[in-house]
Amino acid sequence: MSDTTSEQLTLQVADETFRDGPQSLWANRLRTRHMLPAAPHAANAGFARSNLLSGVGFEVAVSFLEENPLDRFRLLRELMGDTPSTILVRSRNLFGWTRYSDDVVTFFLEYLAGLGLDEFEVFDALNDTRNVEHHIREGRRLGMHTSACLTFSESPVHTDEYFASKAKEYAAYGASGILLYDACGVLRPERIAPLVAAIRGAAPGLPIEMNVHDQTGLALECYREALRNGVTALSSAARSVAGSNSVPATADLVALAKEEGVRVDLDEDEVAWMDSYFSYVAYDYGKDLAPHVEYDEDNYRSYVGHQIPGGMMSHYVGQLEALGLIDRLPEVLEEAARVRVDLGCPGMVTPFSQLVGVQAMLNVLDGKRFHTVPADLRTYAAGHYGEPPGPIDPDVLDRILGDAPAVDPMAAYAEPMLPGIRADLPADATDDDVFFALFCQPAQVEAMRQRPVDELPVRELSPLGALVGHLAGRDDISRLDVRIDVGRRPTH
Amino acid sequence: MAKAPGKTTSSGSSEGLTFDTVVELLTMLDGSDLPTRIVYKDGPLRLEVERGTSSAPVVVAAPPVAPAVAVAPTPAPQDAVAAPAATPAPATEGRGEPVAAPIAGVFYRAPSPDAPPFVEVGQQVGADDVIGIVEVMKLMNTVRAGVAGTVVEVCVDNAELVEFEQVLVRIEA
Repeated sequence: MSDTTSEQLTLQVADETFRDGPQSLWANRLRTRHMLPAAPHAANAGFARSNLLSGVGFEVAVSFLEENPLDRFRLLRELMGDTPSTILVRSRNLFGWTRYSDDVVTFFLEYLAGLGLDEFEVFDALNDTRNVEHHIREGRRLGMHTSACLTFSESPVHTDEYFASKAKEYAAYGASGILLYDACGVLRPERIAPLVAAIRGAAPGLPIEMNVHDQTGLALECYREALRNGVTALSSAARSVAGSNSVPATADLVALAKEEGVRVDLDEDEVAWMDSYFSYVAYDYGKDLAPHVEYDEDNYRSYVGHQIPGGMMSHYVGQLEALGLIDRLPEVLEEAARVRVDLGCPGMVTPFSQLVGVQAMLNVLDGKRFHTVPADLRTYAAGHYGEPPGPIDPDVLDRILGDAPAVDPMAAYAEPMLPGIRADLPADATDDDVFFALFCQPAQVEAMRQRPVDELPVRELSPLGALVGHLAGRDDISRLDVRIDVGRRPTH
Repeated sequence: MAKAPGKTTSSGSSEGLTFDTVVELLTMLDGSDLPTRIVYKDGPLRLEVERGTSSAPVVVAAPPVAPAVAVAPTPAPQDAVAAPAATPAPATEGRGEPVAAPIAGVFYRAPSPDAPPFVEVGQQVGADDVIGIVEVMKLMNTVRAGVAGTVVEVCVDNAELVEFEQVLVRIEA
């Protein structure tokens, strides 16, 4: 490796302003029309890549915002110019919830590549790399940069050796880079050096990328260690969609890189413009800035047991309130920590964070462990999702599965699914129609298509225009007087 | 990593007003013990917002570090408010000082349909006299003469759509 002296390093920012930021803090409610004005600025900023879409973003766009996520991708991609686009792909689920066969994976990637997708990140929360081998091989065939994710989790089974063995498998499939992905924000700075060394040793020559969230206030310190260990491809976002449950703010990352003597090749004016613009968008949406998280040892310890992500925690607390269990939240969270270990320490991201959280709730409610078991947990225990990071506790496995046989899901992935999906569509269905039919209910797609579409060119919103527009929408303003002295010297 | 060629630095600022300042102003209006009137001045831009009943204004100072746009020797504002892509009518032809539309909207020469116009050709005006109203999204923006003198031309008919910076009247000192 020749990239170990920091003078030679250049920061490579993966911008998450359109994807991870709104997903982690705003439940993906950011509309395309409010992204578009920022896209030319993001393009000028000089990001190494810009993440434009994920499965959750896709679903929320269709079912809650009633806007077309493929149009969003097309328009953003067009405005991004030379900046490579990427997306986050959820294992076999892609943008949905079914575990899709290889032919659907191929269709999905080919179709998005046709829309201008340059790269993709793919994760499997169990780190069963067999689930995403086909994705990576197809990405390579299509000439796309593939960032193969190591879903980070803190547990006795998530050792450096464990991650190294997974990185080695990814390298064997032909991945372009290894993306160490910590959506739960549990990575500790002191873990970076040995972990990076282990990954490098297992996947020599492959660049290491990192996406660390800030739930416990450690993300920037992890990034500092990353830079010191020669990892410069780091994820960040505009300030109002950064921090806390999201990735760090780009401006903070830039400052950090300068402190560490790493070259910054970004247009910082554009980064500042994006911060300023999205602070207005946040106001417009009624969103407060995420609170700054200071690291606290006790908070870290209580969180790291269950690692229930922030986005889910608010729903979870709501559920407990509805069940009259909110007084027992600490007990439920302790049980969640136990259930997580019983189930083999799955990465606490969708859908496994839900499986663990719901089971913990049921265990406390029933007063008996694994007495009531949801069907999805049986599916998990039978092996449909792949192999868990650690073994499922034998007694628990017995209680969940009983006599039901274990399953090897990999065999089914070769069976084509597309013909069946196409058969349900009209003969003149486009690839767009197929894409939506894979992931959405027909009624949702119909409702979405009734809505006006976003189009280019984007009319740039000026600050004054934004202000006047806002004041116009208020009923307490009795008068607004705006004057601009147009190149005329006052005579008084 | 390659940057898009032909980069244009469109900072999105008009006369130094930034989105951050917009948020600051709006947040101020959201407060409970509000001023009822806010005046914001930065370079050639002057904003006045009034809520409910009027009282003494709270003057919001421009940011301490004025952006380059604001201190530049009076170029015509590049980044128009609600300015459409079309270029505004030239502001330098004809006699007298042009009084331009501060914002795109509908120009009214009189305070109400039955009332006489604010100004007629030949009329003497003071700098603070109102020469018309530009309405945008139900908000009435009074336009003042800016200079004392004689109205020599009224360039826009009543109820006509005007663009940002379009000349409304001309005044000869």
